[in-house]
Amino acid sequence: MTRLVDLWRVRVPALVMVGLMVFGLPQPRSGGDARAGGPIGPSAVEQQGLTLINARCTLCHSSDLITQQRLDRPTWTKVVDKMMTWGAPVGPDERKFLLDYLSASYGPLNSPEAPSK
Amino acid sequence: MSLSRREFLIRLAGGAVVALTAEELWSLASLAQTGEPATDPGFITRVSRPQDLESPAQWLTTWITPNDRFFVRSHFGPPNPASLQDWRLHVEGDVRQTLTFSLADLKTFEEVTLPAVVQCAGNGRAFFRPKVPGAQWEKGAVGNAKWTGIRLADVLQRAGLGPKARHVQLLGADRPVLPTVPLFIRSIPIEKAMHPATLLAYRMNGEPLPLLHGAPLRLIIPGWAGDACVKWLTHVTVQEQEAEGFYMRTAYRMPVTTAQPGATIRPSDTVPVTEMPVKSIIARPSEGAAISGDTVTVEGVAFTGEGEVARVEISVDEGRHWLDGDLIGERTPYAWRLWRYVWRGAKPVSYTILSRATDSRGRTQPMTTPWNPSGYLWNAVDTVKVRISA
Repeated sequence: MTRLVDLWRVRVPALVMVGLMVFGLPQPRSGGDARAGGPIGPSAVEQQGLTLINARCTLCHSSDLITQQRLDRPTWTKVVDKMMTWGAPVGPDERKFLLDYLSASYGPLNSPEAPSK
Repeated sequence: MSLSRREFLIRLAGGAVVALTAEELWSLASLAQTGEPATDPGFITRVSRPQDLESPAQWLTTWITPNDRFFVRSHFGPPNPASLQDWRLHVEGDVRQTLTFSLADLKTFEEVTLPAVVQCAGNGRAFFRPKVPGAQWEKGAVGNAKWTGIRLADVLQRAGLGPKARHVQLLGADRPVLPTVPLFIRSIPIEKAMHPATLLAYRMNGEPLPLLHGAPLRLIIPGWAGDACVKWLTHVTVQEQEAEGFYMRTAYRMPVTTAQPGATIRPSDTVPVTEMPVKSIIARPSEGAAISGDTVTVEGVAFTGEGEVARVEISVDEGRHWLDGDLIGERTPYAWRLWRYVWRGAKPVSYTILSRATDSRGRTQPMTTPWNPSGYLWNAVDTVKVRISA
């Protein structure tokens, strides 16, 4: 058991940290208000969504598991609720925001070209 | 290191930047020094952490998949190698005597080597419509390796089965980050556990089993999907009932009847994922390849669960006509077959090449796989689009 505690203490934080540094932080999917000629960047909602993902989801897995999905709102709801049941620290307001954000940014309508099937 | 795990996670959740301590760096360095070969940089990373790595389809041209090119999948990532120094296999539950084995103990049983395909149950999930959640595997969450180990049946016979021995539950040493996440626990029926091909494997392609692939010990159930091939195995529990828990009662289940796409399926209308269906995959040419000349070599792999691959056919006219490819190389139960078809007379236009396999029990790849809510066991006719130039 002592060994297990040591492992939690040493390995998990280190790997989570490195994972976040290297892979974990999702990048905006598209540019910001290019019409205004300003610098390319995420919209406020998108930035908020990415921040929430970084804060609440990437404890357990990298964000690419999320950003590769193209799901409708009922399916996103099942996924988010399952994660909350499993301990994802998402509050009620955050849940609603996450569902709005994921359904809009990673919904079926935004699906890229279907693969070769 | 003064920072506790809990404190670290809380600070991480708050977005704080935490520098690595010398102890953590050492830990990382020791992880890198497990003596394992690096994975091939050509893998497609489906998930960075825990790592899910897919082989590009064009790698599927060898009978044996090299260890560093064998797809990687787990729910929580491998346990720390240091935690495995005191590794033991515990055999318990409805047995006449509870037993504990070191790896050296296990190696006193008769050793068996068996080539077998291991394929993630979700290989091909990306092709289902409507889309389903999970790692969006396309074609390459599959490999064929020579597994060396001992028969699970021999170990269970040593322990002695009790009167209620109906299922064997399997648990590995991997653990989720949060203790509130369910453990990855699966069970298999006692008949499959006692099958002579069901192995406790400690070598892969003649080398010690790599950590990413389940060292020191993993289950191999030839012909069944990879979810049953539990890695980092520590506990084998004989019991009357199927295992409880999310990964047995909710996940890795298939509808018993064809599901309406997008429908919610009650768990009572599902059964556990078990045997793999017949499947062929085109390795070459690659999707979107530009090919000059009128001759195209089409090649790939084909496999099935129980039985053997009897035939692989190719079509270049959207399935109106099918032409037999050649099955080549080794022919062994549970391993895949390589196949090849040399197509002559291609015209300088675009084509979709189709492949379909049929096994010795007469099962043929369908044109599409019925939808299921978790995207398991995709085995539709494979396709690649190519462009021919003169």
